[in-house]
Amino acid sequence: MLNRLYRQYVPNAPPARTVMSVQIEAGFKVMLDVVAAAETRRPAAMMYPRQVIEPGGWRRPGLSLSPAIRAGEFIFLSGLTATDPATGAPARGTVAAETRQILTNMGELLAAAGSSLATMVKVNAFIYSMLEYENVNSVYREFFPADPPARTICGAGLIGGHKVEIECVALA
Amino acid sequence: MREVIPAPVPGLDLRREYGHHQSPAIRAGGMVFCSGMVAIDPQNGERQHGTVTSEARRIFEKLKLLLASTGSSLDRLVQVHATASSTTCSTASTDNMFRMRRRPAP
Repeated sequence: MLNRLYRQYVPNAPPARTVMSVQIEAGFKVMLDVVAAAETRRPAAMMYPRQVIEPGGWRRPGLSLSPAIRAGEFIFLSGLTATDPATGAPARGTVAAETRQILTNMGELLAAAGSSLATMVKVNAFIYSMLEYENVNSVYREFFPADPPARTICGAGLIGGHKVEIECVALA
Repeated sequence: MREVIPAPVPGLDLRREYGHHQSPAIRAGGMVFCSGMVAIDPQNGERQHGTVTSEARRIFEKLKLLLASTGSSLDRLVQVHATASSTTCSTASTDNMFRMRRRPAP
């Protein structure tokens, strides 16, 4: 179904792709978000080695991920759930509280990499229930009062009893 | 430098139509990052529910409009996140994704 159509629109050298089964807003069956090269030159992110961004308090032995990776002009943050930045312990709460904690932690992580929330270009947010969509949105607006990043939000099953998980790409 | 890409047609502005606090797309570092798209009428923002195929077709047509407004196109895609509401659809997609990976990757 989806792939037959996909091949019509993207027939050659298909891009990297992730397919997930999730809960989409307002009863839609499909949602796509994409990244495309804006110019014919090779994107800067592909021309430089990658560098792990892992400030002291963010080290999580045993986890097979880095908190953030700098590659060229971009910083890619792993999906963050609400945690106490000092201890790494889960900071579970309401959707609004978890969203606020995650975005605060993201700001600190980006600051450690020499960047900031203001340079975010793309956000992917996952909520345990789309009924809580507006509770994410209301907190989100506080952090991005103007010119918000491109964004995708969907409902998903999250591990560890968390209600929200957010990942992003920012300019370095 | 980070540049907000405005909606090329009214219906692609989900902030205006549905209050979503997001930009249609952001251009930065030689790349264009697009917000998640669902099947809506690009002219007036009305929802256009349908089959998986029909919704995906509408989304691709809107993506073409949005990417064209930035000087890019579907030919220059480097990454796609496809989210589907049905595990059946997702499984079928994943099976086909592995077949597609036998082709030259970008």
